[in-house]
Amino acid sequence: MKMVSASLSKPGGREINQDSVGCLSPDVGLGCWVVADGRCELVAQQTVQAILDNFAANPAISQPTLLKVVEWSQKKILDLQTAHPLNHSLYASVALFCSGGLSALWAHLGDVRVYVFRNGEILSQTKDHSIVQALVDSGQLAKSEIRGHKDRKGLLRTLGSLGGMHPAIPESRFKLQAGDLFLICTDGFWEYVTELEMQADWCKSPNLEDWLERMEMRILSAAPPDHDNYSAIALLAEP
Amino acid sequence: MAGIQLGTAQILGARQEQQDAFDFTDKDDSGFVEYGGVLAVVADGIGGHAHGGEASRKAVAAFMQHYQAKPRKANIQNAIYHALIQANHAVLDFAESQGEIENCGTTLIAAALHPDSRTLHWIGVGDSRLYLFRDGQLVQLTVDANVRSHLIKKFARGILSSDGLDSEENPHRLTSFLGLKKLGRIDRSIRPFPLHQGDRALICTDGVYQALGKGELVECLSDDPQTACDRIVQSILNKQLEYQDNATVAVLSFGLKESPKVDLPVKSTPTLGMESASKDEPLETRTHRKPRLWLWGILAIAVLLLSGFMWLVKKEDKVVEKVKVIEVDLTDLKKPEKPNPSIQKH
Repeated sequence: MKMVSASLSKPGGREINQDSVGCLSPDVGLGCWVVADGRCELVAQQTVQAILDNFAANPAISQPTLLKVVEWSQKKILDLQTAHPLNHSLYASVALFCSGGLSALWAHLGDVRVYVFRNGEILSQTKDHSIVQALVDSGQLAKSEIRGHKDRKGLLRTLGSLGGMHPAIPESRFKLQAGDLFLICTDGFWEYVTELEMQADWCKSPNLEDWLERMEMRILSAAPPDHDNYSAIALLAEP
Repeated sequence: MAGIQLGTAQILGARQEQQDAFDFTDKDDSGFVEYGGVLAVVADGIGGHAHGGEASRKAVAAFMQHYQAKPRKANIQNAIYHALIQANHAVLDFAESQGEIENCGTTLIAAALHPDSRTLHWIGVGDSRLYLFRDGQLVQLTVDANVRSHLIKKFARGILSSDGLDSEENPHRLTSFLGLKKLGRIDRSIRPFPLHQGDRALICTDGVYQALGKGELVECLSDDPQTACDRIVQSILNKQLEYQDNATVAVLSFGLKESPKVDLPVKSTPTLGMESASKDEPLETRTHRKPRLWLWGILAIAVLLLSGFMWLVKKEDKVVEKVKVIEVDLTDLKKPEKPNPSIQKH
């Protein structure tokens, strides 16, 4: 199976883009794609680079490998915090997605999401490490109320926070089928594009670039002028 | 067909003429439903230009004729696309016969539910919309083909500043509709959209969504499709908006949960936009819903009389509608679509 991808990363209504996206070309059969949403530009870029560097040094698709990749990247961010003691914004939400020819695996921290689509349906989506998701889990909030909630920016786990670095990684690898579709995106993206809209826009899109553009138009139509940075990577498993 | 229900409703609003049209396939024709599903189509003739009402009725009639002739093995996506192209030809032919080429047009939106594959398919041009209602959530599946959408796309591609987004005086001006020689900005599904039990597809003209917000539509959609449509038009009427446009809505529901049975005619004629008015309602706010079979005879006579009456009224009517203007700059539309430079392909 060949994985094709497309990405976008925009500042939205902000001066600075504190999101970052990156990928390791799957020339050797294994690919890695990363989306980070930092509290500053520096940490987002460093997070993406650290994860790609660590994956390149240990290219494997397994839960222990991804855990190590995230742990090493955490160390890099903690070193960055030490080097910049006055910068209190060195934290990031991040999701990484790794794929070989037959399977894929992903990890995330914070509220960067990974969606998995098959045959037009959502097969799975990651749960945010956030206060509002905790409220949903405890039955105090409906899932549909996450978007637009006043506390939606409150995160429980991020890269760079001491004691909060516990990435969520599926226990087993995801077996790929031709046509499987993935979306990795920051909260500035999913905030304004519902899951049904993601599905509907894919039904209309001949390719990944078109899909991202359709969803971007929804963001630009719905978001207030000062809206958050928005970034996404879309991936498609092709035979 | 068990599992699919359909409702429709239409009002004249504050207009002199009904320029919306609609139709649907027979949901009880199991032979056709097996390979063509149940399809509803709504069109909104463009006011301010010639023959808006006639354009929408021609488009709907041609669309239905060609969709119902769909070969058994043709997939629904291709069939509705073919039907749309034929509908465009019908509007162009009519415009040409009236000496009004590209000065006569209509929007069109069609949605087909296929029960066996549990899928939804759609196609649309202009600003009539398709929404999906699921688990209390209403999502607009189509994008209006208007100046606003066009500017947003330009902004996304980095060729327009944010100031430029608000520079247009009439952002709702259409950029595509049936009646153009070169049809652009077709909003269509190229893959089937999977349906869940209880899903509802709502198609409507702008007279509906300009009068009611999403929340108001959601409130109406919890009922069976016909009641939902009746509630939608009643909500519009309750607002008593001075410039209320023609409004047409159709709801298709998918699911085994049977709601109260609503009688619908086997076949409808899209020109039947004016039922005899209720005594309690003023002429300009009359409600149209699909009548029962025994009313057909009375209706046919009423339509003939009303058509004659409307023709006379129209002759006297010198008011130029201001809602939709089709002074379209086609320069951009005729250019081939370029990829968005800000989206990276890996």
